[in-house]
Amino acid sequence: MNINVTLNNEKRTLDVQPHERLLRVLRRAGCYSVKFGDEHGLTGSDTVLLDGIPVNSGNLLAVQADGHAVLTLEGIGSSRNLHQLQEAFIETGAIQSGYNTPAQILCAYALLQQNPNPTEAEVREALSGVLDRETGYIKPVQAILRAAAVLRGEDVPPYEPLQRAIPAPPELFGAPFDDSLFGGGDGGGDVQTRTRAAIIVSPPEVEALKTVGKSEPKVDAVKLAAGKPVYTDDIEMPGMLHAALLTSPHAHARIKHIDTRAAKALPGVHAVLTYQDVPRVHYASGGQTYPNPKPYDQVSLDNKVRHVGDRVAVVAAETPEIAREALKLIEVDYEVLPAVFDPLEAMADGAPVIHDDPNVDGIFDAAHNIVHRIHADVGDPNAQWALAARVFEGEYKVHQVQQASIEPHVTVTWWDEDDRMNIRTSTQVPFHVRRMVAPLIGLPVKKIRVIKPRIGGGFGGKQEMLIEDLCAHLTIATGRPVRFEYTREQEFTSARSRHPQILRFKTGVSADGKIVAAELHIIANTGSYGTHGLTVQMVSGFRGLSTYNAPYSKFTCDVVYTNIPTPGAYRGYGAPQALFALEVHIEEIAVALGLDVVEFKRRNAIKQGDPLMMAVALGEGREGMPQVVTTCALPECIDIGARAMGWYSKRGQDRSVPGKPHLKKGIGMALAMHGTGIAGLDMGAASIKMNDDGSFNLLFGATDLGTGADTVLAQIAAETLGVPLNDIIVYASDTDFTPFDTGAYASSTTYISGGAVLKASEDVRAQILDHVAKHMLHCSPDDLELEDRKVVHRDGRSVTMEQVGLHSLHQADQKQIMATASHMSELSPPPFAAQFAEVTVDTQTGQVTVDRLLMAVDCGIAINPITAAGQVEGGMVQALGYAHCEEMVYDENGKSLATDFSTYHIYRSTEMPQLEVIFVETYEPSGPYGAKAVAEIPKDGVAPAMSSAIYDAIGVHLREIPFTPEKVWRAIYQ
Amino acid sequence: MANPKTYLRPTTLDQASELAQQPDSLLLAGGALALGTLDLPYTTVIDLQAIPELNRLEMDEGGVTVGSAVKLEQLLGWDQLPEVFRQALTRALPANVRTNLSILESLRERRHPMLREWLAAITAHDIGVEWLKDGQRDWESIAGLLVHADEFDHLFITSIDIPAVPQRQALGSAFVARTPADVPIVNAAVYVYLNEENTVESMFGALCGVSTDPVLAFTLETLIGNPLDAANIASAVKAVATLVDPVSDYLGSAEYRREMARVCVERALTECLEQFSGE
Repeated sequence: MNINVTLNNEKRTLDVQPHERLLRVLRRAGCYSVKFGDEHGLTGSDTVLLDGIPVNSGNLLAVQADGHAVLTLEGIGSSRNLHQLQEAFIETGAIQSGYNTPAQILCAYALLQQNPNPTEAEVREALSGVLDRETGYIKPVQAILRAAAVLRGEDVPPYEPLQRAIPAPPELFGAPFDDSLFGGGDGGGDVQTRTRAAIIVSPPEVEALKTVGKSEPKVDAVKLAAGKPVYTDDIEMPGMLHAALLTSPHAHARIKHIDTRAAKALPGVHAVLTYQDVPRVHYASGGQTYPNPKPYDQVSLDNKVRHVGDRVAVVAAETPEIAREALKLIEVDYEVLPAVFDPLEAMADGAPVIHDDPNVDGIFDAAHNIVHRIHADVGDPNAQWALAARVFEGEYKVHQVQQASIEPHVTVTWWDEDDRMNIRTSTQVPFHVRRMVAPLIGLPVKKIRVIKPRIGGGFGGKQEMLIEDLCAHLTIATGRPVRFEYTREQEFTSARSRHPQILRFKTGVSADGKIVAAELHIIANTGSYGTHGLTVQMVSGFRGLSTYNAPYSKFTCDVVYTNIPTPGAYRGYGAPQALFALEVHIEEIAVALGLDVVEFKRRNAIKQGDPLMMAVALGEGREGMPQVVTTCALPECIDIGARAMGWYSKRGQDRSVPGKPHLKKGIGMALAMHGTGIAGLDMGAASIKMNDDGSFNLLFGATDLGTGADTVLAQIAAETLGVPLNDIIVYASDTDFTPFDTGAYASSTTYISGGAVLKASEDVRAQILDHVAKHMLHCSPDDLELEDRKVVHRDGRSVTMEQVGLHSLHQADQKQIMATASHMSELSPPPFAAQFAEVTVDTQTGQVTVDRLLMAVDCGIAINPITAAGQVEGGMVQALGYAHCEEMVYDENGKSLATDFSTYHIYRSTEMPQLEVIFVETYEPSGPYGAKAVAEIPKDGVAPAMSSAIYDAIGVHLREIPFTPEKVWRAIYQ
Repeated sequence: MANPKTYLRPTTLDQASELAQQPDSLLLAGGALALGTLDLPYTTVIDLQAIPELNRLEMDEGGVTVGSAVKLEQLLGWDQLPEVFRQALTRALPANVRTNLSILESLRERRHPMLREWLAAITAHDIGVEWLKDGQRDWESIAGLLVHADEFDHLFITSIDIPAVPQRQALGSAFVARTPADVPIVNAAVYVYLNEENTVESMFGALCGVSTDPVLAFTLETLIGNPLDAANIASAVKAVATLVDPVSDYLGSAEYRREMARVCVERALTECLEQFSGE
């Protein structure tokens, strides 16, 4: 049937089916800015303006729009004619992955049409229907307020997101402290966006830099702000089929018989695949370096299911509706087996054996569901325990949470004209995917091309070869392009998550208050499959025993199979679990000893020049290597953060909300220490070539998840080559065209891939200098410098980069100035942070309201402070969800109770605490331009800082997250 | 195929009423929650957007009459909307949902956790509901209709009446949730009417999250005929524990929910007291 709509101010007649949602029809009409985030209408990714009002187009039949005006982002502005809102989003760094940026801009547009001068609260309310998993909402709100002022015609000064102090003013580190730098020291109540800028305290090396250290707009910001078709699903291919996955309704069952005849007979169905149709090739799905850690306990489709949501069959059909209908016609006869969900029960004698395939190699004790048993220790236990005047023990529990990237897992596969399998996929690890999928689909690596377009968030969930094999199997079976996208419910049941753990610490403290020995035992639940089970727990052990670096440290761990959906990589990768337990434990010790918590932690924390005790014993999936802390501003982070929070005037005071004695205030803190890449394992490569006009193509395999990595890497190249950022044209990543990179994980991109970019840039720089010296200025290369798009001789002569490009390509000693370089590191210099939190506890209900989060962080030099600040802000909010409200829970049969964003709550724009970031920079000599990592450390400190703050409010330490009202209530009253 | 083949957009109530007799048909107004699935298991969709009567929003000093196709967002435009309603519509219910969630849909999807505060508010305030059956209009209070929930689900609701809250009347509400904008674990709304003697003439309450039913309507008899003060409230709410029959789930145990029911009702009544006191 036809409907008539005014689409982006143009009258259009669209052919639609009665059941079709407006979302699909709009995308078919070329409006790719409208996106799928969930089937429930709770992400807001599919926002459009219907007669000027924001609605979710996925929850609107297209026919309902008949006779109405529909506006999408394409109708507001384009990349060549940006609307003021789009410009403000770019300018303020409000765009990370950009997946929900169109929806945010549309909601803002609708608001400003009605209310040109909104308050911050009104802006936040307008954004309440659009979930943001990345920014913490700070910069989008800033952008909207700024655009509103521009649209009102106000004189808006240049955007100044950051206050930089070089070098650190002495008053920051000693009394008397100048609170004015931090807006008064108590945080105020109304400064979330307008006035609160990230603060950077920098070493002097930064002063000489021209591009590095500057808050450059992201290189991909314009196309993201314009809503261009840049994501995996933003492609239409002739004859493309749609995949749907049949998942197990049982937590543990064997498939006795499966009948697909009715499904195959359904018109429009082109393939139905079960375990009978695909090769039984064992693998591990974690996207990790070769050889992937064992066990290889998965096959593409199995005759046994191990959790509700496990793979049973996959269908390709002409439409998504036909594919889903076909799933209903597949008859599966299950032999339901006993299931086990608790890791302690799973290890007991007589527990159901989850992996009983004798062909799977590498399971430590399959009969007891123990995948791995890890043991690592350093130091002399007898000597160190003998020094302990007091020994403290504590058990802590952390739960399972989901990455919840707003863009679900999505893949498109097709045969190209050379009969090569093309896999366009939303992945963090395109090169791992290519290598790992090859044996599963029976093709050599050379016959596979993996293309990573823009990604709508990953957070580790896409460090997995999750659906690419099934999609490729369907293309092989049908010969047609196939599109496969998870539903939001499948993201909860059939994707990955964070490992739940039970952590037991035992710590010895000497009579003079020094931590002399530490043991950590973890029981980790890896769910149905091993995947990242080994390496995540090794990181937990390493991180849990590193901040306080006891001379004797021992880590033991049992990694256990159960019948819950499989955990995997999630931003932080084992550190958030360990640091919650560690920091609460250390605070408990300080309290028990009657010592000041800050001083006890500061005194015992690792310091610059210290060796990392556990580094040798614990690598990631293998033995580690020696590490020494070369840069550490942790003491400064503690000091500056504590002063900014007004710590000493608040901590330990009995503070209630005036007139409401049941509302108690508390302030807390925690330390955090992370890694920068995986020492001795991660490798990245980059290629740079010079063009006729003096610009450069920069190609690398690293994957920007929205973090700004493309921009940061381009800044490193621009700085080295003496050109502005817009002279660097970035392409990433495509296994056919870009050099190898292990991928975006372990906070490695700036340090490892950036190292490769730096090397390649330096090589190109040397070639430029050599060419100019020999053929243009006839001098020594030592007399030349690159700056401002020129090669400048110390005597004042110069040639432009364009002249060099033309000369080298066309005129003399002709060659392509280009270089490729690889980089790996046997170092992993830790970033450090002090995380602070303020809360209000309702002592009658147990409800905790988080009022303020502040992180003072040493990430080395922040190559791009505005994107680094965005990483910290967004990371803190994800960590807040972990600590406070996000939780994957199951019924007694293992069925997930979290299936959408009403049951799995993610913080919305209207409920955010005040968020603040302070960078205390160090210059890390092993990093490109002094950089360390920043992406994951914000995940580490919020939960223990909240626990600390709750303790300050009610006098009880909570040892289990999330801090639900009932847990707090029971802590108070029981 | 589990998806509609036919879409109809009647322009009169009579047409819609007749079309609604078709088997496997869905009355659709908005769709924010009704269409929150990938497939729609109906053969016919009857879209109510073109029926003027169902889209009316008539406000006067006595209250507002709202057609069932009106979206919840539009209610926020009524400046006399009681604060309890305003909070119920904005705290846990995101803007993009409100804008396409009709009155009809909000009643039909009342088990959705995001609608708990709305449901408690309309139950405590005991709004009137008008419906159409066999060509005849009928009317009853929401509390009365909820007693027969199965029948309620099949009614062709045409409008609701939300009375204003004049002097001597007050509405209060309270909730407990994990975060400020999360769905409530337990929430309560209460209505109190004081007579000329400043004693409680009538009191209605509604609680969500305390039984298998989406909402529990109740009255605290001990308040009736007594002044509304802190002592009487504290005494009266002791009975709440006996009124509820909560079920444990991941958000809260039955024991916790029972206690929170008391706390929420006490807070809601205290809010009414503060309104009467002019605080």
